[in-house]
Amino acid sequence: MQRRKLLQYAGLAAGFTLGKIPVWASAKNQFSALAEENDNILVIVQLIGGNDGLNTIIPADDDRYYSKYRPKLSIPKKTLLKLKDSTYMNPALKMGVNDGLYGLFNEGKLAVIQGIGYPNNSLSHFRSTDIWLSATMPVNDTQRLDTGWLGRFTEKINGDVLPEHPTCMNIGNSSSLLFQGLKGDLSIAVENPNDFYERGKDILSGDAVMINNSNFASERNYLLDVSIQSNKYSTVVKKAFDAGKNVVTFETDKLSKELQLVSRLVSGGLKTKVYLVSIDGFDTHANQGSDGGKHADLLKKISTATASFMADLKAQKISDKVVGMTVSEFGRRPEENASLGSDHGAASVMFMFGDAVNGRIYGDNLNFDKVDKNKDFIYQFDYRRVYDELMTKWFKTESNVTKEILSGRFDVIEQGIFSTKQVLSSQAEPSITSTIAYPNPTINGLINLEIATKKPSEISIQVTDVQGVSIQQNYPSRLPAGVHTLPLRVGNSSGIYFIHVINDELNEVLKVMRL
Amino acid sequence: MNRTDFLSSFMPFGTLQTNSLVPFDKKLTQQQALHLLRRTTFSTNWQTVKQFTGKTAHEAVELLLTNAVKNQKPFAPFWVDKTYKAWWKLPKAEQQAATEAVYKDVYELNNELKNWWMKEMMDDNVSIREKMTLFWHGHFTTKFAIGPAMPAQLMYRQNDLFRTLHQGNFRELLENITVDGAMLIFLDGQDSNKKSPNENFSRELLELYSIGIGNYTEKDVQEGARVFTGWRTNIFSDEYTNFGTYKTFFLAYDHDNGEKKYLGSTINTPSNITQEEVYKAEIKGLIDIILKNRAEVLSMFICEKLYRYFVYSNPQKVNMDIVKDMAQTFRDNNFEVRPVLSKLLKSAFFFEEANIGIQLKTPAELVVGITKHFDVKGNWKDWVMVTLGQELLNPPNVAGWAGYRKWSDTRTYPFAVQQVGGFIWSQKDEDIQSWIKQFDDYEDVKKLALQICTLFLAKPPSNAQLDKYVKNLLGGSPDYEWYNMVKIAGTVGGKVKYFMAQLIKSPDFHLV
Repeated sequence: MQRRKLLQYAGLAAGFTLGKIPVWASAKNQFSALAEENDNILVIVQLIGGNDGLNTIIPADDDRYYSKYRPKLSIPKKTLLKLKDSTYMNPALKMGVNDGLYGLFNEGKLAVIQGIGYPNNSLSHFRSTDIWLSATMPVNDTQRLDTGWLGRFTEKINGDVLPEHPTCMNIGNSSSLLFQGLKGDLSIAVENPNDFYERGKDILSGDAVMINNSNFASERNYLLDVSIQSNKYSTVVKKAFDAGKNVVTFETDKLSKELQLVSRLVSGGLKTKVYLVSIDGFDTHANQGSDGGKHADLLKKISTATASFMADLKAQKISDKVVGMTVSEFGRRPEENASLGSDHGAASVMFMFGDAVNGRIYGDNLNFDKVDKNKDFIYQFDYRRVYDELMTKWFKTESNVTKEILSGRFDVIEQGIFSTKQVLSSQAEPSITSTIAYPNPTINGLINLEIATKKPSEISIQVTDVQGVSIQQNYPSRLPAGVHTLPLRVGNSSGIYFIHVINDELNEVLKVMRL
Repeated sequence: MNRTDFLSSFMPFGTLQTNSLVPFDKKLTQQQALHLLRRTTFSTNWQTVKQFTGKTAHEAVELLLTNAVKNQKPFAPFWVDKTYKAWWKLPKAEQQAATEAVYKDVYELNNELKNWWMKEMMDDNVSIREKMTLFWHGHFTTKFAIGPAMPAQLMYRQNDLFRTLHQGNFRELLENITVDGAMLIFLDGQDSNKKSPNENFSRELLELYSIGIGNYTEKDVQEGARVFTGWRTNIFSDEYTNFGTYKTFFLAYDHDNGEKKYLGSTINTPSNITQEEVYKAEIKGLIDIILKNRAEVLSMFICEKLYRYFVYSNPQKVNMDIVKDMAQTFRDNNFEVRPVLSKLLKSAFFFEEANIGIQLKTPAELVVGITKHFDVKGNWKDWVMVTLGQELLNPPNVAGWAGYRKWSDTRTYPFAVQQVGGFIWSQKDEDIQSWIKQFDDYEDVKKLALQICTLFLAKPPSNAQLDKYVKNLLGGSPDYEWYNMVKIAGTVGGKVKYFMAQLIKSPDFHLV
């Protein structure tokens, strides 16, 4: 597998080819695991410390928010931004150009995903961060999490080739688990492209790669690899940086600067697919503040930086290429503590933004009646459902590859964040032409699914409840062309259920109700 | 990385066989002496290497451990007792300025303290003291750059605690850190009271400072938080005047006196709710429960960390048999740290060829190591450390520095090469000329190059490397000319600087 890369280096190192650029494999093999090549870009904004979801998107019509859980930390109701009945946004999220994240929401470009998390949420920053970045649910507390989901993804799409452009870029920070693959870090770290260029152009020592399996050779070759990548990519990044531009003004805080740089690199044509930026300070155990406090200030930074970022891309007509998402290791406990702060919690809220995003509210409000034994919010949506949709729909990854990277497939949240009907591959004539569920609502739990297919198609069907718990699952079966009626059964209690119709091109979710 | 794994199938090489710590019974070679000095101190020189070569491992390690205790401790900075007035008690008009003055001090004095400590790392060169002091700082992390004011006066006291107990008893370290002033501020103990105990310290004590995740329950975290209620520190001259400043004290009315269960045991109830009694019954009692009920996992947790600090930081290549042996020693010696260090560092395993030169230099090792030889002024060193991600007194988060390959990526590695090169180029030619005189037969260009390479590169240079570096030194002149070149500062200065700049680009320079 790695032989090819090895030979590239060996060729480079032979006879101290100081300063020579190694032979890089052509980009032809790149992205081989993608159903179709695309230049879609993902920007991950990591909120380090555990963002207080309850003070971000606020169920302010529940009086207990003010009276019981957040007597000191609550945001005054009159200042809140109403998103829909009973769901409000922290006013700090209106800061920035075009009314910040609130403006993006009103434009339909902000998805607010409530109750994101996973079962038995770890309350350790480090463990929970690793769970989010690895997209792996460990079987116990001591299982090591050594690779990140985007590291595995990158390894898969690049194979053994070092691409012309870095696939993943970590802005301003050292390496992240997010980009760790089985064979090491798949990202490069960049803070300032000019400095990077100055330092990278003269970095090659001419030392030869060692060919043995000692730890010494492993570390030494790692450093050589870093120097070679620095030399190569510093030129590529600088070129994009010089070709690109920003046309709107950004603030000068760290997150704004990082997103400004991302925008400029995208503008300059860099083919990097994933950028990681971050903002620290969400571990608000003490003096979190109400409106205008420490937490509100962090939200304001997210809002202003994101708003400038989207405006900059839009003005340059490249905003359709980029989606962003926030990740944070956990939310915070509903009940405030004595230090005017909040302790580690569980389920929280996630944002996704971009032209391609179906901007609305997903899920129900954080609910004080749905808490676990630590009195933390129980999650509604497994975070991997977002990753799955990103991979299959945004990066157009082959289904089996997504499955391998996430150790399984995950349903889209509600009707999906990218569109109500997700076209997974751009076939001119879709094989499924219509899907109808009836009777809806159902009284006895029995429901018919009618599927019309234009040509024979491998289809799997799953019925889940609102928690994502599977009620019925049919293994993929091949349906001939025609109209088919399949009898299905939803759960025993009344409520909302989802029927997922999945084939290679489509992942459709039908919402049905049992009375 | 990856290429090597591919080849490992048909090129077995350097496989570790050892699985227990038996004493190394031979005299140290030059390479082994260097290995020991590099792992236990921040910088060394040719003279020390020569002194250590030929000692037994026992002699050499005893010297490093004993010096660490015997050497005079550094003098405290003059401002360690400087106090502040509580700004909120001042007239409204003065409050803003008073607050700003405190925060200005927080940053200025902590910056001074960083430089003060870096100087100690440099001066303490035949002793393990500062390496261990940094180990404990990275373990019991505390950051000064946080929201609440974290005076350097408290950071100094914590630093002094680590220095005092650097090879002492782990129980004492745990007991002391629990009521350490800087820690009370950093992990919110300062604000915790019986009505609403803050879980921050309680969680990290178990997760990061003693036994690791998976060995306790959320209930233990909550119960521990109740134990830690009521402990305070004070930095203001006009607050809590009966307790003084920079001392830890106890407020009975903020303490939860109820019964607490912890890790399966019941915490002792103090006979009186006084500082002394509560400390003895509850704090010492709680630490005792951790050490007794979780002796095995605690000893493994701490010894694995020591292993990664001194042997190999790759988390996937820890020799767990060796760690078990260390952990047994730790438990057998009532959690004294010195016997563990002594056994590990004197072992045949530690001196195995396969363990030499495999650690990526930490920024502290890189910066202190080179500036011991080529000093630079002002805050340059500190700035480089900060940019490389190892700002002293300000680790990135409560887990400390992640280390290993996180030190070296496409942002930091080229920066390190550039800046360390900058350190060298900033030297005066005369200083370079006198610096080379520490080496034997420095007028012989090959002998000089070999000694400098040996001192700075992870492994002795190959003939090809040495030839290249000799050419760098000579810069086109015939080798017999070197004898004359070393007499002219302007000539030898430039040549040695260029040569050093090439060494710094080699990955071998960045491994120890």
